[in-house]
Amino acid sequence: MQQAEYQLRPSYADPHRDIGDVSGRWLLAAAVLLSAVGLWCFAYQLGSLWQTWTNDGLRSIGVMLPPVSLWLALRAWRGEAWDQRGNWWGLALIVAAMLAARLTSDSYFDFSFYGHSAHIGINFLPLGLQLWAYASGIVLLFGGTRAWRTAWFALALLLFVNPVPRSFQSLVDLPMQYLAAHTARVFAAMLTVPVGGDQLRLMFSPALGMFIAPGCDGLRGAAAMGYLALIVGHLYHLPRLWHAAYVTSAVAAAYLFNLLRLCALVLFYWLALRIVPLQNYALAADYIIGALLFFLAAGSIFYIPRFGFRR
Amino acid sequence: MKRRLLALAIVIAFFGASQSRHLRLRPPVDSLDGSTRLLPSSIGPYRITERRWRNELGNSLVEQGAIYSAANGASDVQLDFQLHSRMEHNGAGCYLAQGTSFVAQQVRAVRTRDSGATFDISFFRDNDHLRLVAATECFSRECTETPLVVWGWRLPKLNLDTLLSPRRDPSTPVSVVIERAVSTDGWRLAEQRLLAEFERFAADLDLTTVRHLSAPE
Repeated sequence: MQQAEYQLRPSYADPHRDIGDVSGRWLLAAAVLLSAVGLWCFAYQLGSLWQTWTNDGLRSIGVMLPPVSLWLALRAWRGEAWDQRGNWWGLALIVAAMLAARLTSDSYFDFSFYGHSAHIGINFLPLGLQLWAYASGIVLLFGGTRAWRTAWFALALLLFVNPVPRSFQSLVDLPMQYLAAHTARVFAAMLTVPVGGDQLRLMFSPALGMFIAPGCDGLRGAAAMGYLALIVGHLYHLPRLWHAAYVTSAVAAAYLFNLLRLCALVLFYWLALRIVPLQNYALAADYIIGALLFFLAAGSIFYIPRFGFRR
Repeated sequence: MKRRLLALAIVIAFFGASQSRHLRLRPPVDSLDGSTRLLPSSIGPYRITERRWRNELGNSLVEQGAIYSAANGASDVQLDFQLHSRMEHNGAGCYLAQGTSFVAQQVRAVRTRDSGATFDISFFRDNDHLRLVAATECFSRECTETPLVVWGWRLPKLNLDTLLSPRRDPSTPVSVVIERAVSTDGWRLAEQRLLAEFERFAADLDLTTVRHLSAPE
């Protein structure tokens, strides 16, 4: 009986749903339009975010998260019923988000900590939190708690529009650069490739132009792999513990594959010293090796959940 | 549903109007004219070098600066401005974020060619070099600086005015950077020499144009 009742309730994500009369649809359209207009209140923050996405290679993956979030939310709501009464707490969340946006337009809200080698400023009103609060408020206001619960994962993705917070980068960048350079150095020593002193930290050979730091510490790949695993794990309905382990493994695998990439480049360098024409293809070799390893790792990410620890 | 739409429309209208006033831009400074006035060909014995920059940082924020050098053997000086800044900005924060070692900090009132300015002066150690970073923010009436937060909370002064006013008074962050190798005389002496060098440079620095740029519309 309950099942039959559930079937009869309308769904927002289904274009053929019955959500009432024509005026109801117009109201729904007005709600969507008004929500979009409300983004104007975050204009300054969104402008900064666009600058970050388009100018910062490490954080450019963040541009994918809002459309993926929207797609996952629509997917989650398909066939689901909405509480047409909504929840007024949504309005409180929207006001809080807009107030935070207004205040952070000209002031910092962070906790600064100066360590031995890095300055870490932890922003406690980040843009991701503001957007999440706004989107959550809209869903709560017009769809109610049930709609919010259904799409909680999609909404939570908005928290990561800045996929790598600067404080996190400050913490892990230097140690990972050291690990990457150290591994490459050990491998080079094994191959008796002549590299001297601290130069290896920056480059293997000015002639071949292979740089090790800072772009080669694997952080970019780890971020891409981590978010890919997060979304794929959700699509596969992995249990939470397995999901956490899956994401952690993906990040670790990205770092491992980065070390493999550096070792492969050392190997290429070793070959290029013996086969001179190869020296003209160092950049291409870097791209090919990197792309092959990335697709291998990404393929594994999609394949592993098929082994059967789905819910 | 209609009541919720109406409530949302009111909230958006309130915060949207505040945001619109906040984002209203001053007419952009003509790049050539602005460069000439902000970065004169000479400041006292210092002459501008070819190392100049003008970076569009987004949201109409522009970073503009140049390196000045003196023939008398003094260290090169980097002078940098952030035009159309809407947020407080202490130039020393950029160096701290890069991971250079912080040594010391002091707030000091310095005589400039036009009148005076309060600078937040920080020292950073980078291998065998000591770097002085002097930062100030020029408002229409004065140039002063909020000291860099090295440890602790960084929060705006919140009151009814800050919440309701369309935006904080416009300001133009200015930073002066001087660096020198530390000789056998030691870090303390290098610190004093850098400070003296900075004060000599600041004494010929005219911040009138910068304050004029920061004047509210």
